[in-house]
Amino acid sequence: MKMLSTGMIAMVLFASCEKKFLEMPISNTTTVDTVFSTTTNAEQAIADVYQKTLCQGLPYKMDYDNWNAMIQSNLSGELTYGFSWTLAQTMLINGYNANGTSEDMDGFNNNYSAIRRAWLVYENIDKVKDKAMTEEYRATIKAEMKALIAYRYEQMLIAYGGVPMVAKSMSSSEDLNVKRSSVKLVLDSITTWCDQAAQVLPSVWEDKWTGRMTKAAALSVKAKALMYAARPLFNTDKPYMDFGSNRELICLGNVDANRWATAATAAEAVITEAQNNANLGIINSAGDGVMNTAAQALIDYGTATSTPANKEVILAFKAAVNTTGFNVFMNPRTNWQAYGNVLTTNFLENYSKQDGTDQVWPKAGTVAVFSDYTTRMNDMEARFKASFQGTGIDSWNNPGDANWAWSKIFQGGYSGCAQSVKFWYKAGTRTWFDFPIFRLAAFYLSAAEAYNEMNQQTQALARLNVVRLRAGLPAVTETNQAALRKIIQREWAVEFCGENYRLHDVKHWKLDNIGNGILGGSIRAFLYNDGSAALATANKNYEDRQRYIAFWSAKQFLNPIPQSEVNKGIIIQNPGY
Amino acid sequence: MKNIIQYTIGLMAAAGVIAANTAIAQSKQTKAVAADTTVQQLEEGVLLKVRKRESLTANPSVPGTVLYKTPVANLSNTLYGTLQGLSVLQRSGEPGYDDAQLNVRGVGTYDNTDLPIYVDGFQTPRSYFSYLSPAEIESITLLKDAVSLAALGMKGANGALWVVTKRGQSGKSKITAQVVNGWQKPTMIDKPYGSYDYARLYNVAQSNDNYALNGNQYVWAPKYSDAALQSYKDGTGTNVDWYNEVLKKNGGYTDANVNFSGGNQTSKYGLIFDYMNQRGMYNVLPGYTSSSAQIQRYNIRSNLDFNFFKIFEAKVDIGGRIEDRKYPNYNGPTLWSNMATYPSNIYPVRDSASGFWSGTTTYPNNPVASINALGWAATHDRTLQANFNLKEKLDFVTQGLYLNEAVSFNTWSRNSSSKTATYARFNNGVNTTTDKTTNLVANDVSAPTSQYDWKQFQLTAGYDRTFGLHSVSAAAGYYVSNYQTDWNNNFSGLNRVNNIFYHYENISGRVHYAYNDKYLAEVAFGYSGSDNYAPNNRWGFYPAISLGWVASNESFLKNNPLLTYLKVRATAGKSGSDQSNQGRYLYQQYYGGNGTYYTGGSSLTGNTGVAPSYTANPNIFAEQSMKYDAGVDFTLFKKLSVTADVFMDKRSGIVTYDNSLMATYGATAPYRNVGKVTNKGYEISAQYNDNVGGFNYSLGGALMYAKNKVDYMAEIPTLNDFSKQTGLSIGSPIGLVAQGLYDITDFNADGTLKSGLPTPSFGSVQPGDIKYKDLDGNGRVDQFDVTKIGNPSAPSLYYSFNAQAAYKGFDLSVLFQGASGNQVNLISAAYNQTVAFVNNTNVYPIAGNAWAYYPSQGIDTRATADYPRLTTKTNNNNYQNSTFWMRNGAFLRVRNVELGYTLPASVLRKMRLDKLRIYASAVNPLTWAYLSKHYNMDPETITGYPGLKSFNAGISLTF
Repeated sequence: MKMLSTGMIAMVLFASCEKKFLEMPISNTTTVDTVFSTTTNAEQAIADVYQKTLCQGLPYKMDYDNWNAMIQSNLSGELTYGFSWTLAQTMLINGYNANGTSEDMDGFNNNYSAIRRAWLVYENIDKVKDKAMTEEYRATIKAEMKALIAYRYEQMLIAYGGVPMVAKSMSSSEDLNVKRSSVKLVLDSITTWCDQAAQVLPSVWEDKWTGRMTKAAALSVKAKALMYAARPLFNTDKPYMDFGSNRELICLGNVDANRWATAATAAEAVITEAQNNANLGIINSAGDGVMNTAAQALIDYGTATSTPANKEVILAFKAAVNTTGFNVFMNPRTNWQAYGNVLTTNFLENYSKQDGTDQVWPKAGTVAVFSDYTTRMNDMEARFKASFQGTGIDSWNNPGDANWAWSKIFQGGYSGCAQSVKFWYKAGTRTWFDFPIFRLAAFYLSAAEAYNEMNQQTQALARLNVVRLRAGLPAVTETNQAALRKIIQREWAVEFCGENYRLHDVKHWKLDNIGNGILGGSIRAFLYNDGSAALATANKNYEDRQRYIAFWSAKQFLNPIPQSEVNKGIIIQNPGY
Repeated sequence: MKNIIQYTIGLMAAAGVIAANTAIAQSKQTKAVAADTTVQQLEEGVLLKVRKRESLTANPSVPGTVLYKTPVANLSNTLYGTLQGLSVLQRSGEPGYDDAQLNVRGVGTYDNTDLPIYVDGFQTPRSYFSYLSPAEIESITLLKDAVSLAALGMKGANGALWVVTKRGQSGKSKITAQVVNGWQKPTMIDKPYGSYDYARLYNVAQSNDNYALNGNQYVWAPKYSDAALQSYKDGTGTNVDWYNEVLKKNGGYTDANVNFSGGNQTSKYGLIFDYMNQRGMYNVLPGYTSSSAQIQRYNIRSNLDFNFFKIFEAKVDIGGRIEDRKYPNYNGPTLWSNMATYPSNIYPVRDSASGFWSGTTTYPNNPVASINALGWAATHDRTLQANFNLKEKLDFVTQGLYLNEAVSFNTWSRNSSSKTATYARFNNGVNTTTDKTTNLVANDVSAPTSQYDWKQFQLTAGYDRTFGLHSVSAAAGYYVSNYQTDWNNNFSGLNRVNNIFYHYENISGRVHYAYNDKYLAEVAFGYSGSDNYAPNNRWGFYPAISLGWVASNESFLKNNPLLTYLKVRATAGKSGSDQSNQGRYLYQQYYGGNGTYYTGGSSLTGNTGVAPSYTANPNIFAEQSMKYDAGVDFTLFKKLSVTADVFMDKRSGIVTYDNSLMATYGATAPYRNVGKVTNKGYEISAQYNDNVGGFNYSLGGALMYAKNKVDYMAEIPTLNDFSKQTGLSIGSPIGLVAQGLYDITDFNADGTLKSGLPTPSFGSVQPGDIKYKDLDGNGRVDQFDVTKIGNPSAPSLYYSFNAQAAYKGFDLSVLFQGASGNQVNLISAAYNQTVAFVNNTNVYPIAGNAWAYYPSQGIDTRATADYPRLTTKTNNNNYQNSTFWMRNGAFLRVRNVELGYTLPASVLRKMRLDKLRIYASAVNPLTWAYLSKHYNMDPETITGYPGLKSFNAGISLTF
């Protein structure tokens, strides 16, 4: 009985510790408090913000179920849509709709996840109290977050027009009903944030942190936003579709020629900062302002677009393929889906021959012998050879590398003008690359475009020819504004093929033929052997044929906002959807 | 509130200490209690047992002897139609994995509907309950009233099963032995067409697929020649019925048990040994290289009672068992899916050219080889529940006071072992895959796979007393539970897998009061603490009240010959549920690893990323149920007793992922207690007993109707109001409204739809495809045109009726049970049996009258077609969820019929036996259902290992 009474007393003691009894060990140890307890932990949150923010517009494969093989070039008329089941196929044939995955890959909603995570770091970094967190580092981190947020808004602005502006991490209990802001307000926020960030950010990071936001990168975000603001899609009082009183959500509401001057200044600021303070520059082995040789042009352009941390890249998405699964769909050597991404004839026609003149391809309906294909391909300019692998030809951009031989890359059923191998210059067996988000050449072309619109053709040509000469092409001398505009636009297409510019450039330029062979209309590609697929060897002939008719409608100048969000009654859908 | 708990516990503990210390000194007689309670029937329940006549809870119960009448391996499959308010739905019949689905009074929530099960007062996992033997069970009571459930606190919202095991009876020692042996077979199997019909229809499908290519003309393009068709017809071509090849005629079932019972005033014993063996349906080759699906179970129970020192009553209960399961080394559901999808003409079982197992790259898993050539896998489970209960009768303190302490240890572990092999696949003498035939290899001799243990303690102080016309029965208790399991046995949901500890406390109380046996009142409460919530938010209070009136005890009704008993009652009360399927610890803001981001110029540095997971909600709490019930119990002529109830369950605070937040919020939304569901219904049951000249008979029936409505679920906003799930019953199917099939006249010559017809957006259509209604009238049929297309798969009406008769030693009983109001979506419930040919699958008779038009072949089903045109390709238009594929899921079954004969006492005396009964019975022998009539589908087990019917013979003797 004594035992029983002891037991009872034990029960009383036990019960008085009831608070502890229900306090269970938590196995997952990382909570908001631990993340912002030390600099090392906080840097993990920062790494996540970089990954989440800079992956915008890129294909991904997170795990078995969660992947998206589409690349923007599938939609932009540069490459075909790949295989018949791809998302791009649906969007190209039937048009964009508000209920599917959007062109920006991870979707409208994920923009705000990235932005929120950046604000969380911005707001909580003050909690880190250890020695490594100097006041200077803290200020730099805040500037990085602002610049990253500005980048995401800049990308959204281009694709959607004015979007809801979220200027902090909101709590779920407060009013989350943020309406869309005007294009102007989003643009102003971007430039303000970039200016603020640029004042604090370093021009260069110590080697191990290379890849984080720099002053030049923040200025690049601003320059890109201002360039798109100056282009006709936004720089107008007549939006691309009638939108009544909401027109300021999709345009700036007036035509202002000064926007080109602002854009030119911003582009020049990037060039100055990059070249003077950040040890960056245009890679031209022949020297500044000197025409490169064809062989060296392939090497220099290949290096600028492909080599990790080369001196032309201001900001890149640095997530290796093996571990994070980004960009896996851009490697035709290791990924069978990437092999579906082949060049269209429509886009091929932008490339010139190495002598600067246009290549003449067989007209549709004409069948030419295959040796003609090989000859003509070998005449193409260096940038083409650095970006594509011709049918039956060992990759020009990995010369002598058996891994990139035609016999290795070829997979049955292939048809199209050429296989995209851009970003893999001398990659050998490397399975990852740094996707260039901002490459210095872009700001030379931005400046050229702006000067031409300002009728300052001499400056325009000076900027344009830096890019031309590096490519081993003769300098342009055209001074007629309209003619030069076309040349600059073609230069954008060629220099930045596959770098996620083309799709939005042609929309923001409001090109006349956008629905007739650029984004929409007849999209053509080469077929071989009497209208069928290419073979590994002994291809007989080739011809140009319509591959599909792509859908185009004016509503597609801007993307649809997901219907599930619009249905909540706060966000206004873009016109036409 | 915390003070109250501590005070209560302190008080109880103090009383316990006094009781213990004075126990030896005290030897007064305290035996007067409950002399008449043994006479009157008691209702089992939480904390209290109340006399049925004065009960306000009116919970139904079923004795183990009735459950024993259904000889099946899984206890949950004996419950059909036995407990009013409990809907039991049969699921897979696979031995060892054949749990029925249990719901109390319909479906009250879209979150976890699992009901807790208590065995001898302590909660057990479902698996413990499922393989108890009915021979061990005294009774099962269904707790569905607000009062009992309030006392269970956060475990009460979904109702509960209250199991009481068999105890020894004082008196002469008795031994009862029972054996039953049965032959089991599938209730029914929806079988595909044989080779001839397969090939004939494939020709149509393939021709249909060329319609657009042929310039929208019907050109006959058969795959199978007339000669091939003829060979299938006359039996010379390959025509394998995979079900016939894989399954035996019968599976077997054996159960044998012995029950020893006896004792006296100071000690009683009840010992039960039970052996059960269920041998599955697979027709495996003899030998030890494979195994059919089977389970063997050995149960032992020893329930002992001791009375000592006048004031003590002790119970020592041990329930242990071993379960051995063994299966072919091939995933069961995949095997059944292979049998359902592999056409009959693909290959013979054995490749005729080589004599090896047939197999191709398209059909690599020859079902006969799957059960014979891959070896076997087995599990070995050991379970032990040990309960100790000590009651101190403290009448010497004050009459009717008692204390009770009870502790339970429940432990289970599973080991796995297997012997595996692979086999080479051949077709026409060619080895078709890289697999090579290997010898049987022992993999795990016996590796531990999973376990749990559950420690529980219950302290109760009670008081039963009658003063003149007042009668009081009261009890208060403190319960504490510590459950721990392996990650692989843990529930689904967030933060479950690694968080394997479950702690729970409950303080409860219940007072039943009767005045003059006429006016009844009862209050109860539960005050529960769960470890799932934030530190300041762990406790919830759940009160309940009930009032009743036994009108038949009023003078104006007393001795009324017609209305011999009449009671009306009403109850309202709260209860909760802390086991959300969404997960645990939703109040904690977790960060999780999220990829790696690289930095570095000359070399790369990988920076691990961490990102916030779903947003924490510090206020997350248990789902709440508010239950209301009004009922009447009456008896006419002392023969017909009727119970009727109307009930309503208003759920609130259902843990719900908040889809209503704007995406601009930017975080994975928090889980919130925002969901609301109302579930309403009624129950009526009646039982009639009579005896006419030695002919004893009884008839009974029960009917339960429950319909729920989602009041709020924070669903993703839909474009059109008619697409909303909110406002409908839980699980209401959403889809398109079909308007028959397109006809040739709907199309222009170029194959486009005629103007005026809405454009479907699921791919191109041709004549014979399903036509849908453009509900929003925008000229397009798309995913915005979806709406409610039928009823949920859970029935709204659940009923049973039964009859028993006994005459001169013969006894006959039959139990019917049915359900209706449910519908089946063939596309989701029976995809393989519905969608013909797509992905190299089979064709079933459901597609026998598909739309087709080949005048040259004499085929024209345009006028009568009840299935869209056949295709061999993926067809996103036809196989959408739509009204086209909704079918009535109602059914009525004979669950059990039994004929027995008990030998007369005179004969038995000579044999020195007390009782000897032999009987024959059938389980699920007959089914009436739309699905079984039209498609030979079992309405409850539509795919996979089928539900079983059985024919059994048994003997029961007592000496």
